[in-house]
Amino acid sequence: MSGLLCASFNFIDKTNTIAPAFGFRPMGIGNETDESYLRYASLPREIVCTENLTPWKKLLPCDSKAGLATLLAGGKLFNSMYYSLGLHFRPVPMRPDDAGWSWQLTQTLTVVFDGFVRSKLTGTNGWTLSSLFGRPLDGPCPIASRSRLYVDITDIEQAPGFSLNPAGTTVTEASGMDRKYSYVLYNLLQPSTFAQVKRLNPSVNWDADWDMQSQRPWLHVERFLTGVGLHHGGISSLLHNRHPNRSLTVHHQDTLPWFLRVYSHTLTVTTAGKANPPSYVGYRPARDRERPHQLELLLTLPPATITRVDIQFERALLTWTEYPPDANHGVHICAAVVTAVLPDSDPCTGLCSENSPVSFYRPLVRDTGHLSRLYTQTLLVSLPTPDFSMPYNVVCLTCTVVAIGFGSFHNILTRSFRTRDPAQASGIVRHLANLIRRWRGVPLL
Amino acid sequence: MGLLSDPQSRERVLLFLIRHNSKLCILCYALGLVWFLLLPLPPLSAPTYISENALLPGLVKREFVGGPQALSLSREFAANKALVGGLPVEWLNKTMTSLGLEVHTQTFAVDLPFPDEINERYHVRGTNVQGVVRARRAASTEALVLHVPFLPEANDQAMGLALSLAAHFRKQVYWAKDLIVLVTEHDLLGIQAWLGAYHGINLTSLGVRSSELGGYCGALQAAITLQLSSDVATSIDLQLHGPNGLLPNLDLPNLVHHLCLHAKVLCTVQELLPPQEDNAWWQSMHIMLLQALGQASTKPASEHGLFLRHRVEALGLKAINSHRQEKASLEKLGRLLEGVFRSLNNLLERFHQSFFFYLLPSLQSYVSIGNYAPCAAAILVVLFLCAVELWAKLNPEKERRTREAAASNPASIPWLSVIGSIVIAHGLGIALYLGPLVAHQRAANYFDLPEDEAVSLTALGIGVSSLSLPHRGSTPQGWIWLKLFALLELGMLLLALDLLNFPLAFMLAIPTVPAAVVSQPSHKTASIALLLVASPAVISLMGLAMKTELNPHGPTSGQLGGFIGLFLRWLQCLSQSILEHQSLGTNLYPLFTLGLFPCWLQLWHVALWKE
Repeated sequence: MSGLLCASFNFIDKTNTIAPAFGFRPMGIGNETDESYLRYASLPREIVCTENLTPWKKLLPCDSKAGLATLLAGGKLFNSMYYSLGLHFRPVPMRPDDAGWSWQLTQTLTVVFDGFVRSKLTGTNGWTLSSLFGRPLDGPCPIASRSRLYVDITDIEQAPGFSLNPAGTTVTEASGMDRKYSYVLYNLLQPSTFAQVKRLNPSVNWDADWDMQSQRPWLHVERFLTGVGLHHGGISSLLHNRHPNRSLTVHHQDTLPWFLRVYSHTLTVTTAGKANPPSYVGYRPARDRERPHQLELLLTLPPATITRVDIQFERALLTWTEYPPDANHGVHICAAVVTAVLPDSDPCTGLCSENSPVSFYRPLVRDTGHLSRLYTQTLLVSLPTPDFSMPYNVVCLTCTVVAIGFGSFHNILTRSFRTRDPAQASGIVRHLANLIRRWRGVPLL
Repeated sequence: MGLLSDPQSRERVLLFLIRHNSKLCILCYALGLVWFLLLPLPPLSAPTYISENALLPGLVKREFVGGPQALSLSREFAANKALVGGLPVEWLNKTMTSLGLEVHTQTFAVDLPFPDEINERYHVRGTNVQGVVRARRAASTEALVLHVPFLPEANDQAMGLALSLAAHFRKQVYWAKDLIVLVTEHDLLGIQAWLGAYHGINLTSLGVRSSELGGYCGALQAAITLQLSSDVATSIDLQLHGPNGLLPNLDLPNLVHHLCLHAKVLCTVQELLPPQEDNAWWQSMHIMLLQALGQASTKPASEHGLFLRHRVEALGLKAINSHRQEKASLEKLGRLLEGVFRSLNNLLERFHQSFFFYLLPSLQSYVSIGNYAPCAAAILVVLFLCAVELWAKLNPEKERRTREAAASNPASIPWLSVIGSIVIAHGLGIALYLGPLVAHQRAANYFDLPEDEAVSLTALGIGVSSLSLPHRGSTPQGWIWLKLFALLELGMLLLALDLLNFPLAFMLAIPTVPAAVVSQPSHKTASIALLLVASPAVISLMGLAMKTELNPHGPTSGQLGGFIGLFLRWLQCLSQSILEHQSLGTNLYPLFTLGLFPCWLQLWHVALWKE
């Protein structure tokens, strides 16, 4: 995998891998994966870059030479606010009635463009496909069985002066609540899509003075470090349940490296100042240089509240070769994962295909609750560092001070001194001494 | 070490020490003083340099052109401020959102232990506003802070400049760290509340109630506090020290100084011009003494100070508009700040390369800890030399030979009177520490005084009344034991302080060491005179007088001159230091009452020892 994607998966080892008891159930359809093989690991310091994008694109059937993948030019993608690449691999049944299995590979790419700066710089509201990705769409990938472009216009439809060119097929789906979702669909495989235009370049415009008030998602998580200094510290998570009248049950999974000595007795969960004990606490302590701390909590978040999860730790000292490069930068602590089945009408923009055996992406149907997985911020923890530039000097100085200074002072302070007259020594010793003295020619005792 | 473990050579060392003790003491004391006076001169002060290579100051093309925008925003802010009669939270929220920032507000409430008459506040309620520029594709693990304290009368231009800088920064793609534009109310209390909430801890002894903070940005790497109250500025003054003499890493002031040179903006420290060729020694000394006095006061130089207590390297930039010819416009200042933030953005690691302990005789040179620490140590050695002499006096030579006999005969130590004195001295120290807070209410009601005056007068009352305790020892030798203990305690206290806050330790050592050495019943007049000079009250009074004298602006108008004025200001400072200890965690008051005062009281007891 490392070689295939130019990613540093080789850094995944037993020190950052856990076996979740509740989170990350196998998502293959009807398969019989042995759950005892389930592992979860993450490398918070690694950043997804062009070198990962290029091999990722090569896994696509048309590479980036035709179809939707032609939009994925690094220059535009990496100038965005957020960017993520995904690769999902799961077993699916060959045919619904068949017992045979096949493997399904799903590749996802998520990118968030900065509409604010775009509108400030160009002085216009709205976007076109070519303004976002640098080029329009020429056509589908010839070997694709399905190639579609969806534009979500749910909120923006109401904007004054809203326009979308060229017009596509509008799909409307209603959720359980009174909220309605609208999408505009361009089916690239349909010849009519490219009948009037040679290249598909949807453009969306609205009047400048419209202030988009998008609804915020029900569940929101923030995680941060607490404490000052390099000895003690803590990690706090704030879980916001923004739903006005439904409480949410969430699964909170945390992996902390062994050099943060977590005190599990300091774990507190409070909602609005009152204790809110988790219904399940799964804690597996770390072992030095072998495995990380694993903390799993099942929490109930009352409606319209903020729940705070705190845990305290103490930093351990590493041996001086164990520090990462740029040791004074600190170490990254991987994101906690919060999983919840969110009620319908959650205004999230994710797309999912969990339950369909023949997987293809389509707008989310939000009639039933859907599984949502939130990754919190990664944290940067400063560690107490030795002075790497002069270990030799430090070792020498310390040894000298300990050996000469401390040793001697300790000796002098703890010993009682008595002057002793050599003439009063015992007979044998005196005889021996006198023998030597006689030989040396000094006065006898 | 053989010298000490061999009884005979040990005897010789001891004899040498005893014979030449007074000469050695005077030599060490003089050495310490002379060393301090020589600090601004070249071999002891070295030219400054930027130690952290990643900062790369001045290498980027600065593009900020928001001068007019900054000016209009500051006018708008001033107008809204006048309209609301305080911090215009609504307007800030709206403006920051329209500039593309992620806005969070925090409300906080602090109840001070007694009314603060100078700042006219008691139950403090306020709001902090925080606008975040998120770095693109970064995971919000690190952040920089641009902090603008809200002042009712001033600092409008700083707000305008910060907002227009944030608007500029929002459009840039090069950020690796998030940027927080922070507006805090009620100067240090506001920033204390914000930092406490951000780090989830409370470093003070007051309960700060604040609303849940949002918009966390990871580890704060550096902070700049901006003070700017005019449309143009002639110079930028760097404000360094935080509470308890904490200093930012030397790279940070160096960076700003370097960029000021680059931008041709005059950069000063302690609001004094850089030393000129003629009279350079005195001018450097003047700057250094002002820094030392500032650190010794344990009071932060500006609102940036509390960042330092939370281990965030921070610097206060105060723009000054004087009568000088070259003026820098808001745009120029904005470009300067842009340069500073882009350099900070380059940091790969937290600040750690350069010095955390230093004295600055000018911005071009610094005195490192290795060069200044010996002068306090030389003075403090006197205490230990004197203690050795006393020890020798207690164990005359022939007794020392048969130590065992002396050890088995502890009756020679007057336990009761010595331990009694020690316990009483420390008990009074605790009373002095707690008394003003416990008893000020009663005193205020009884004498019909403002509460903060009642606090200082209570402290003064406890201090003065403790001098009149009976000083009756049981044996003629008892005072030696007491003095020995007091010398060792004072020596260890000041030596420990020397490592944390050198200027304070040095300034305390200069008057207390001679007084401590001289005090004994046989030189009653001299001891009492010296001890009075070295009393905590007189030391702090002298520090205050020195600060007023060295202040480049002279005494502020409206202040009474002369001794009465000084005394009244001292009383104010006394109540302020108690308040600051409670609300900000500065440690001058506990140090004086729990550490210095008991030592001093023991020495006072020694001077007045009667059989």
